[in-house]
Amino acid sequence: MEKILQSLTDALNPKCDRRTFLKTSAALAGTATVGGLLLKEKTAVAGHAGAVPDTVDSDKYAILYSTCQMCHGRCGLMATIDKTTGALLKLDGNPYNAQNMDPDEQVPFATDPAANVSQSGHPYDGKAVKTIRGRMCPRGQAGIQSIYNPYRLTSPVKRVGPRGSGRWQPISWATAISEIATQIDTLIPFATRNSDNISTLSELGKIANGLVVSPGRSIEGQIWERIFKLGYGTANWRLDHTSICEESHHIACMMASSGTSTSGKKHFHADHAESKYVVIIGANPLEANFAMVPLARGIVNMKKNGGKLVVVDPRFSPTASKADLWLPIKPGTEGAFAMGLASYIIDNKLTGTVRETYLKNASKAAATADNEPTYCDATWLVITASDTATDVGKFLSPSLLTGTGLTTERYTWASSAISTAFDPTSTSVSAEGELTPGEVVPDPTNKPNLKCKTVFELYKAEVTKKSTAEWATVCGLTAAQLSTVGEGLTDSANGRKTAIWSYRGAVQHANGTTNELCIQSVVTLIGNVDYRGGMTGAAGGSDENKTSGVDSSDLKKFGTGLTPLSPTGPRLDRAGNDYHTYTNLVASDGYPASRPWFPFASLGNFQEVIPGIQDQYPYPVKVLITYWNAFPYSVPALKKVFEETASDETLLPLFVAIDPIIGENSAWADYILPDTTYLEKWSIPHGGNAGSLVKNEPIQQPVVGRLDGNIIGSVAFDPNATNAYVSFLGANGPKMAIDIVRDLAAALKRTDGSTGLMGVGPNAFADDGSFDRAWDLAKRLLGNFAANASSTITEVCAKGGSFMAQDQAYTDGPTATTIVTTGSYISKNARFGGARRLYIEPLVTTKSWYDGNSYFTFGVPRWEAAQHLDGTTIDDGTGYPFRLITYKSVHHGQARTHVNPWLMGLQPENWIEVSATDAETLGVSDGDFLRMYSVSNPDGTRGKVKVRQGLRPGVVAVSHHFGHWEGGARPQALEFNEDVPSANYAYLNSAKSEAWRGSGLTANPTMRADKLFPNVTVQDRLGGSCAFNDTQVALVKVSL
Amino acid sequence: MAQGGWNLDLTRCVGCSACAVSCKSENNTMPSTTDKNMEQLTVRYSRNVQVNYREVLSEETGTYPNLVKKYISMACNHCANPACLAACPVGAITKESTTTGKGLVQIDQDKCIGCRYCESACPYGAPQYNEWTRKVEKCTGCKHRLDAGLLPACATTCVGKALNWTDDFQLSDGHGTVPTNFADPALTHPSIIFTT
Repeated sequence: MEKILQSLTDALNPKCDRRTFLKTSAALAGTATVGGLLLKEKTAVAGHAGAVPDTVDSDKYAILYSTCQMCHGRCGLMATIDKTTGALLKLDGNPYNAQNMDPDEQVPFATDPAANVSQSGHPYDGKAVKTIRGRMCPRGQAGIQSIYNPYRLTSPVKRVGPRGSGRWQPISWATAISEIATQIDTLIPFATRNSDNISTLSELGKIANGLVVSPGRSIEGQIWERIFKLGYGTANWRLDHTSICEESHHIACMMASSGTSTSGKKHFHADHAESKYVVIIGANPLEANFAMVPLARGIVNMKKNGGKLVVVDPRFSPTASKADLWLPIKPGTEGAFAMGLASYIIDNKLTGTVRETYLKNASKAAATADNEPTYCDATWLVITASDTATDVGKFLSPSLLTGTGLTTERYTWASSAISTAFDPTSTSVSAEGELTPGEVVPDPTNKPNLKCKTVFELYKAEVTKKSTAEWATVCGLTAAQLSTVGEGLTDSANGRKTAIWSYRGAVQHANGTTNELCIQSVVTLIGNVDYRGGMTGAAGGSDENKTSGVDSSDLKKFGTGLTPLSPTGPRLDRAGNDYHTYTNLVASDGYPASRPWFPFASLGNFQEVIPGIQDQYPYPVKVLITYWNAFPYSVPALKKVFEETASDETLLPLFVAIDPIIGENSAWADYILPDTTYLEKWSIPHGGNAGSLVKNEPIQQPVVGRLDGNIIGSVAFDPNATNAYVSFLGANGPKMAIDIVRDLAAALKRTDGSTGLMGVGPNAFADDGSFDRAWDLAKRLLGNFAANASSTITEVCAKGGSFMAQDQAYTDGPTATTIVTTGSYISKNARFGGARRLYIEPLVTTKSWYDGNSYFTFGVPRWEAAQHLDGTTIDDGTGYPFRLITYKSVHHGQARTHVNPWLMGLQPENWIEVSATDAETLGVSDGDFLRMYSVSNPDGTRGKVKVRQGLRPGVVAVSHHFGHWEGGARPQALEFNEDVPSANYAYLNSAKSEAWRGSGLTANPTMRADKLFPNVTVQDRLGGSCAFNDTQVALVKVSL
Repeated sequence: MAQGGWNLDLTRCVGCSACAVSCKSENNTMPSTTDKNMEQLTVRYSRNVQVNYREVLSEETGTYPNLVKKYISMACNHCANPACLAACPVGAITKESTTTGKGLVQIDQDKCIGCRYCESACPYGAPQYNEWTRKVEKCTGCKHRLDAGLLPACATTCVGKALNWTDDFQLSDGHGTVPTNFADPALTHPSIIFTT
């Protein structure tokens, strides 16, 4: 067999390894508080190997449970800590956590962590909990190397050369915070920040909006909201990354489960292990789709149980390698694939079937009567013609039919007559209707021109625009392949145990939302949500915000006499904002607006942040604070625009980055404030995703460092202590993000001139408690969380969260509350139970910033090719004959894994992957070099060729997470002062760098920019996703 | 006591290498815990300088669009008839008793002279030359853990539950469905069974 672990020439360097780093850190100086305590102790095991394994003496180590964040799967983690030195020895999965363990091996939550498992038949019966390791992926285990990364900053640094020059001066925290606060309060005068307008148009809000906070990823949402929204008053308190990852998926799923883009479920996953037939479109659960650990078990368990797997992906991925059918689709046609399936099902598998019965249920009561857990809007009437033109495309409601009554009630049509109006959510009024009665006139007497069709009729009209065979042609597949999948999803032998789901490959397109709406329409057609072996919206877990009254602290409130601020005006990224709300702006700006608006993208628009600053639209920005952010690396087509913007101090007067290392983004900042890793902080990260059928909620807590001077793990955690946290890198070393933001807020001025924003210091919390350090906030988060989970802070910290046994997954009836392991339905823990939506009314009622017209005429899913924001199809012609796609491998999965030598050892570089057919045409073979370029980036990028049979011809694949140019890949020069001794920078002070940290290539800078707005990537005008998979490229052989 | 061994279900292996990373973390194999100058070594030898007791190998065969991809996780199989042991000129390699021990095959680092004959003899690529110590090491079966009543690190972490350890491997049960290109088990009688 071919070895995948081949020679590592200069790709790997042990200087970044954990022991060397520990030694280096230990040698920092006698002044370092943690001094000689860092060395990982080596207990010799006589005569068996050159390497010395970890200790098995359970008296010598402590076990601490927390949450992994090497990806966003948020599995539980188990940290083995040397009690004497505090060093992190090993990372495993948390055996209490359902994500890390199959049902039969999960440690029961009631079991004391210091005791033995006592459960007959349990594989660990009689074993000490402390010795039981949960399952964990390679990335999670390599997290040790993120904490012991020698390129971590060990103090704040301040830029001393021009921005981006790589010249820094280490400074103390006190100096950094004081200087930054003074500059913010000068650039945005504190006295008037909540009263002066930021624009001549008052509707755009106050000057406070000139402070922009962009946590690329944040699990500490409460701190940004508390400080920057409620305490400072900027509308831009949290511009995060979701549009980079999957936003259009979430928006479409929310639309399909609530009819709006602001509520509903963000995920509908398969109950893999129990399913008979699963179709996965553009997602790789055996690689990077999260959470890989439970998904991998679910999928292999399904295979073992005889289930069939279909993978739709241009690339033969590891997931495809487990599939019974691999369909190499043309990228961007995932919605057309779904329409083809819908066409086949409507033509062949609807009439007289369970699906027809399901679709006719128009209310909750009707569904319950049929033992169906969900219902849908297929039979609801929509106005197709009216004397009031603006009513066309809206649901027929009593208000629109009679001029009085509710807008929330609906009508159906049956036996040539309109139904009485009904509330679809009613559990007593059983409403049904016909699917295809044709165009009907509800009130011929009074409103002869008011005509209606059912949602299904409108949907079917879209589906039948092409035949199954014609849809297949759009996808580059065959009618036979589509009918095979259509049969599998509806085969009566499979019962309701079939599922279809997608992720990035389907949605990170300019047509991502329409793709996903088409896919979600098939989810509705097969009607298997909430069925065992069908689909689930996931259980979620306990909340840390005030919910039901059992919790103690309302975190959105301040102490007595303090009123939280309410920011006004649109966000800088215009996400979730409707242009037409700002009437004066519309009057002056007209159509199209000077930059796009994203009324449906309620989760943000990351790619618009920097272009918005560059264009000073909708207003100029004074201060940018970033956190866990990789703008120029992670955003398609942004690198050049980012560097233009960041280097212009008139466009961006102050740029502060919170970052553990000098990364691609923070390299351009004025100040870098080093924060701790995920192994050194508190949070409620909201796990329990990826189709989790039981409440399974981990918490995050520091496992390395000191609390009140004690090495974490050396003494029992005391929630009533002060719990002041100090990094193992010393008192001037990294701080938790919560502490950094708190300290900054404590240095900023209130509008009355006093020092310290509302929400920090004395009287900060609703209980009048003081906010002096991270634990003050964390204990309230954990207190609410524990109360909601009927637990205690001590218990959730001891066990790493609150976890249900997985036998709580199923129930007998669609509304039953009793859990039975043999049941046919998803239990109340993960039940959706609501109305699936084929019709999205806001797509009709919302007007576009581009031309002032409705986005859609009728709100049913439709397939459309990827387009620029001006509505023209993205087509760069035959000069750019290849379609670029990206993916993430199981060994990396994130932009940040290039700091983990174990992972770089598994896969030291990436490639420009081309199909064998195309390689022949190009005259290249493995190891040759290609230049890949696009219309937007004629220079493009170079990469090593990998020829693959497992790739659709015409498609080029480049994996994410390589091609870094910072983070140790290039030297940074440090100029020391007395504040921070140079000994603290063993790696950075010698301007070190290591080429392997920048190995491979990134495709992002080569990606297609929008035709109308050339300083931003092509993007989804609906769900806001940026397009990683819509770039046409040319390839030319080069020598390197 | 009896012979210990691996039980590997290849339909469950997803090729993620969690087992390989767990092994590196548990056993602190080079280069992850060296304090010597690897930079110098890589220049001098310019080849594989990693010591990996366990590796995941993969193989993709077929032509578009009909492809097959297989994974296999491999470490020392603690054979009943170890070729490495027979090849060692200095008696550094021993096999534990299966009556008083678990039948693990170990390389004594005090005796190893780094001649690498075992590396050539093993059909499974288990012995790993350590450029820093100039000796050969390999998977110990996580002896330190087994002796403490714990499972090998790799087997505890497998995300697909493909890789399992058994304390009672029976050669007479055979090796299951042995994958293509796996060396003929008759050569060394490896303590591994492939289940499906």
